[in-house]
Amino acid sequence: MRSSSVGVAAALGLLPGLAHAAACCVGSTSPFPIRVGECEHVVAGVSSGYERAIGRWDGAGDVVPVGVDESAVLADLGVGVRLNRRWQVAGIVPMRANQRVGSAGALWGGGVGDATAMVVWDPTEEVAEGPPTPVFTASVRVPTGRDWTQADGALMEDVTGLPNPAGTLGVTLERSIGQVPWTVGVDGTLGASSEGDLQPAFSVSGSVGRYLGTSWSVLGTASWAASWAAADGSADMVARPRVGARVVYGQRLAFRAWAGTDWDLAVPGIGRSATQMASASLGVALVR
Amino acid sequence: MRHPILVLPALLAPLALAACSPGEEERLVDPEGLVETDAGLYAVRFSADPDPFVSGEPVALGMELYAAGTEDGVEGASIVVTPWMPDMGHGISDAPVVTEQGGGRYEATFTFSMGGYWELGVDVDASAGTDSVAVPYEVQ
Repeated sequence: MRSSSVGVAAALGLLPGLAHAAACCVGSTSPFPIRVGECEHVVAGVSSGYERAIGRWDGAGDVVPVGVDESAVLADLGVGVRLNRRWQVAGIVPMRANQRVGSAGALWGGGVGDATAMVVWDPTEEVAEGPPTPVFTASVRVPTGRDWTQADGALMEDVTGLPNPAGTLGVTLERSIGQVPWTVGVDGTLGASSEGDLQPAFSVSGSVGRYLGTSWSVLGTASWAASWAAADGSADMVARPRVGARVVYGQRLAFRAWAGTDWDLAVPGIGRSATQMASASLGVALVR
Repeated sequence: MRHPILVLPALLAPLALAACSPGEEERLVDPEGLVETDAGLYAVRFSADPDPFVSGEPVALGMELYAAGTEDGVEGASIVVTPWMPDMGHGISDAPVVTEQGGGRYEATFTFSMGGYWELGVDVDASAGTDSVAVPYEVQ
């Protein structure tokens, strides 16, 4: 039987497939922890944050300075509902205000991003001394944002989403050993570009945490995501390694609040053709 | 896999990161710095301003258009330039504006939204017919 504090740890798990919606930094959405814990029925909250470009990997994997000064203010609304012990559903609506600084000065744009709907299937109950339990997820990203084909801004500062829907399937192994919960997961995404090309993506991720009493917990995360703008070999791989940290304070069946930061690892060779972002976020959710 | 790389003397420096891998087709440029279009109807000499191109500020892609095998500049051509970032699957939001400057010289002005590997598609429609060429470029 899972302990009641596992609910807090489960809520920290980054939902697979949400971290970066597709091949490009344009239209990416931020992760938002709304997993519903074992003893919980509903989690509804808001997360706000700030992200900034700190560099980029070029096509050879070398780390080079960022071209355009990019930053964004993020706000995500999310709700997760447990239907029964095994099934839960979740929805997230991201919003973002982008800033791009070019020779014409600072350009602002933004709005609602691409919404995501998700189903979570947790078929087995974790038991003491037992093996890790698998949690399966299926999600659909809906193009409710403004994609680059609709953009008016010279630097695409008004882009908040991607052109077409995408579907993601994922599986995560979860386990708590004493006061240390950990997860290892993988997910795959198939989307479409504005040209109709299939855009495959996958990511591997992991986390390890530590309970600090009954109200506080901390968690470290790491992920590596790869994607292609086209599946026909005409586009190179885009790769993004990322690490993060979270601290959470919660009261059982009342609320939880969290603060976190995520950094793309500016290490040559492990990323490719991607802008490196760093972000910080704060969130609060009501829990019932 | 990258598309075949064009080697254009005027644009060479920024292409260091887009060098051909063994086995990839390399489109040759004659000593005058001209590159043939795909069907061989025209030859184009490109130039960059600023050199190299940088993201976030207006840039100008200069094009000298010649009929194949001649030194005659082609006037009155309709030219469409389409920047495309293949690894990201997107272009730019504001289409390049192409102006004719006389004597077969044209200039496209636009702004790259981000740094990285881009391909500049150039479609030419003139008296000899329609033809196209794609220029790779690593934007700073």
